[in-house]
Amino acid sequence: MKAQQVKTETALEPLAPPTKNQSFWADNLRQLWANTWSVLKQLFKNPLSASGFIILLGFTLVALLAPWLAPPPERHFNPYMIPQDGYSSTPHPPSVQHPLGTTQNQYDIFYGLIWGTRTAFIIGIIVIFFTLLVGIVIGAVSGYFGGWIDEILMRITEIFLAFPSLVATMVLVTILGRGLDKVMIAFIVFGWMAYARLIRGNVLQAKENTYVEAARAAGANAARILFRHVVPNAIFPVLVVASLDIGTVVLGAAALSFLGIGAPEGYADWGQMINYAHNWILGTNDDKLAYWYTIFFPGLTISLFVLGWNFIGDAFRDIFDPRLRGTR
Amino acid sequence: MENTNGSGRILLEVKDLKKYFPVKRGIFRRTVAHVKAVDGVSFFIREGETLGLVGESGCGKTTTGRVILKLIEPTSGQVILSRDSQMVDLARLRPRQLKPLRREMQIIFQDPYSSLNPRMTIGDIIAEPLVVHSVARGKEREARVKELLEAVGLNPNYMKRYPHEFSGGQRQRIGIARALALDPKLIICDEPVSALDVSIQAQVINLLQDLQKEFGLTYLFIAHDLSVVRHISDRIAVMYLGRIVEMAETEKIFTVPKHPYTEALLSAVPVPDPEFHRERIILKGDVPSPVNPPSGCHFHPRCPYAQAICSQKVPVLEDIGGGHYASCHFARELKLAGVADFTEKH
Repeated sequence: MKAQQVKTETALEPLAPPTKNQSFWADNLRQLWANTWSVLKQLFKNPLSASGFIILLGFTLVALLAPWLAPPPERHFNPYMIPQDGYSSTPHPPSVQHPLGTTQNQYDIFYGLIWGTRTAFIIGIIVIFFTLLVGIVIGAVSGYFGGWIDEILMRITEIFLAFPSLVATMVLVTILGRGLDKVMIAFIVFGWMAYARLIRGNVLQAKENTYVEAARAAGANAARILFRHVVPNAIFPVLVVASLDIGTVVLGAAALSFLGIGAPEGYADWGQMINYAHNWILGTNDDKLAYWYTIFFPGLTISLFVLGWNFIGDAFRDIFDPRLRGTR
Repeated sequence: MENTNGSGRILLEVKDLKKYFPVKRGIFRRTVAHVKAVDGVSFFIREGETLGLVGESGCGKTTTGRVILKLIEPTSGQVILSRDSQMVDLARLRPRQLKPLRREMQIIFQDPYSSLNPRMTIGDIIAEPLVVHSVARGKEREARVKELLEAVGLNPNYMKRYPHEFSGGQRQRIGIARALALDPKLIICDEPVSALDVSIQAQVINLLQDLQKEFGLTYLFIAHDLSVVRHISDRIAVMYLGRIVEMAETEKIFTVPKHPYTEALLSAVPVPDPEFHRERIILKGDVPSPVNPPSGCHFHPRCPYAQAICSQKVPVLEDIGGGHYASCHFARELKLAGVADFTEKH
């Protein structure tokens, strides 16, 4: 009697055929490869992003092949320390032993640039990893719990944002002392705020989904809900932004080294190379360009590196967030 | 099909449940008013039966369901769950004490799209309640997930797929499997079919009925579609503006309603006959704001039978004979029309 309103016998929904015995990992790897491939294909559609990609690929190869491209001399303890050929302060032009010449105090420019590539990647990756970590935790906790926790954390974030970041970083490095580890710490301390804000906004959006309520109904605690349900659905744009900030961080670290408060004396670091060159930018009275190689090669290297990230950055933004296409 | 579920033992009793949401204004976020979403709701559900909760949008049905599960903290009132012949008032429990009780009651959501985490596999989604309560591990857990997928009519090999690979109806089945994972006694179905195509609605409803028989489940079925509710419910509670206005067995609600609001709802049941013209009760005005509900009986400004007393005294939800509860001052006197009077030719 009651059944008259609802039709009881309907054909079952057609179900997709099941996958046969495919292992979980094989499936996921294929998925990952497919995604990466589609991103690469889009990168190569645009000449700018394609050249950015090629530039960065080149830098990666240089970093990986450093021990073969510029083998450290025998009985040299730390390959990151640039070997010195004598102690004269005047730079020497490119020659057979020193393909790009030597800079102040006879540091080999070629060696410094090759091993400096490794330094650049190490600084960029470590700084971005930890700033992301701090930013994600603070932003996610702030957005998820809301109320006074949100107020306090966001006010702290604003206090950090109120300092001009390069000046604040310089002061902190000066206090902590010279060294790349100190530079990285300073960049992390004053670098997490933008990520915290970005992820907070995404968390506010993601936590409204019903699956969060489902997890609460199942009895899941806050940590599980936050890191299993909310953060994975809020993190993606932040990751994209962060990967593009590597170039900026490397540039900042080079600036500190240039000012003489970054890498220790003799360490393979691009900023340091420019620092050594700064007395030789203008050559002698007879020949203003006598020492051109001291500034030209390190400057070119840094410019290329940052340019590569910027080219690829615009393309990344277009691929991952089509709504922003054509802005900026 | 006649529903004869219900052993008579009361599984859940809700007493005078209230949920007021504060309305905050100004820079100091002062509370200037309250949205009385649930304003003194009382009802009970017997073990093994299905109680349909109907009412128009914004009347507080969904909030009631969420408050029972403590997904939203109640403002006041009691939610008494019977567990191993013990009565537990959920409203007073702390989160830690509440966790074991979460195994007894689960929820199925309205929107099958936002209720599954897009970054988790179906297997992980269904296993989550098992993980949280550390029931079953490893192979055993996997076996349980497969069993659940089969119980809801899905291929167990779908475990490693992601939600976006499924249709709305399949997603709703996944949501049902998740709700069943811990072997709960009570499932709150929050409009589980209103987001689905009509053809798939029937499948999901039938699945819910089959599962009820198989696992001895008790349902609180929240919906606004009267024909769906009529099909699945043993009893129906009608809600209006935060209060239950009438509660009785399904057939009684449909044949001899005792509240004028129920009568108006029944007059809106569709008839599959384009030639048929009927008298429909068109209610005057809009649903009043729950921030500032009318005095006395909430329904009095729109009620065709209202009298002076209705705006002064709040009617009590009382048994007017044979388990037929109504909250109307004139429940015993009024002769109201049942669904047949609106849907059949005379």
